[in-house]
Amino acid sequence: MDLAHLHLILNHFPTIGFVVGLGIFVLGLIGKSNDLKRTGLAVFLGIALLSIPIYISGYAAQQRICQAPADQPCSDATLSATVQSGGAGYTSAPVVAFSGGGCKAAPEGVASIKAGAVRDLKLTYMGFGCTSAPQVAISGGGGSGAAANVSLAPERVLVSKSMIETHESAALGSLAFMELTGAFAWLGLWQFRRNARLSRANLMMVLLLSLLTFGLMARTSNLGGDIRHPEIRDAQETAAAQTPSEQQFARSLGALMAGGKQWAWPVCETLHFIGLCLLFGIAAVVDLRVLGWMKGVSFPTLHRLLPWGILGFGVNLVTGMLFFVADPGQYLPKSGYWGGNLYGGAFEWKMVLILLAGLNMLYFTVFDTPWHLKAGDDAPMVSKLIAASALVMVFGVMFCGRMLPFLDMSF
Amino acid sequence: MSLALAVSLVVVAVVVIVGAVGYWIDKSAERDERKWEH
Repeated sequence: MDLAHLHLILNHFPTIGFVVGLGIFVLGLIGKSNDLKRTGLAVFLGIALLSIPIYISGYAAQQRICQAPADQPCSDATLSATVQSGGAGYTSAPVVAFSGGGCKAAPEGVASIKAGAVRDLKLTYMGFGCTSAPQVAISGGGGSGAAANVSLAPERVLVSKSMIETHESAALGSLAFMELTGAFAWLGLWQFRRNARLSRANLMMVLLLSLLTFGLMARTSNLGGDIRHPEIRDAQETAAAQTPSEQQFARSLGALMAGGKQWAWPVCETLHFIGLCLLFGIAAVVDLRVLGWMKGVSFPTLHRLLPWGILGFGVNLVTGMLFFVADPGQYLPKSGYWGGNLYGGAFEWKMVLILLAGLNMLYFTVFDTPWHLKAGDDAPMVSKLIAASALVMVFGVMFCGRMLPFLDMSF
Repeated sequence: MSLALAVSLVVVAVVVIVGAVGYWIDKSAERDERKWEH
């Protein structure tokens, strides 16, 4: 089990979970049931959190597919080369060059010789974006007369890199709207806790965002399914995968971070630290109060600070995702070292702890037990345990983040 | 414009935006609390 497996298991949750959440939420709106509305909001929040590792593990899945054996390359078509004429007089392997065929990246291959003639031509790279069979030129090696041709077998297309990139860009857009929906859902839950009422403006915003997110997510899932299932592709989806602008979103963001590294990277690093301070500061104050410090302060007073912690998390989510999109390879296990010593798993632990800390935050946002803590009250043991675990998790997130260069060899 | 100045300006801009959002949420909460108290 690795991140690629995780992607394949978890990727169904946002779409199916969102249908469930949306159904509950709309039923709540129609039936005017605050319980159903709040359940819907909590489902949206949970799915928004879960979507982060799903997006991230998608890169690991791509990495695995592209490292797959040569008969399943990340190319747009499967090519096969046949030697038509071996020629004569070859003393060393000639150079093979490919041209034409509309390839965005030309295929590569090596020829092998036997008894002065070219016997075999093996493709070492299938190229990218070839729309027809490219031409082959065989030169050097001391001989002459060798010729080969390449045939394109679109019916054997197994994995298309442009399909993956289209899915990836669609996923990044869906993730952005998913997180925005999650943020407004959290705000709704927080407001309800304070006033025992849900704000109409917030509910309408969540409804609008969730419908939009659902549409984007459904498209992303469909494009993701197309990667491995050519039988369900239709003309529109194939056209989307062949339109460069459809693949540009994730790539241009990555290019901005990598190309504009001079300013973009330090800006994001600085903001990531500011977000971290906000998040940790609020979490520490709230958790320490529940643990028994500052008993003179009632929990509802501290509860009002929670949005600042969530804003800090939001800043860190945006900047963290920008780091990841700019250079996903540095956060994932290095190629060739699956299960090797070059990867300590700090990044994966960081993701797990973020999810758990997010669920923890939900407890302090909506549950009755901490809310009823008045000035001077001692919190029950369950709340204390949850507060202590929250502190451990936030420390863990910071530790794993700091250890990325040392345990995972990132950067 | 030096790199340090560019970085500082963007960071300050983002912090101001985040601060404004936080301030707005807090003020809305205060307003709502007053509204539902009466």
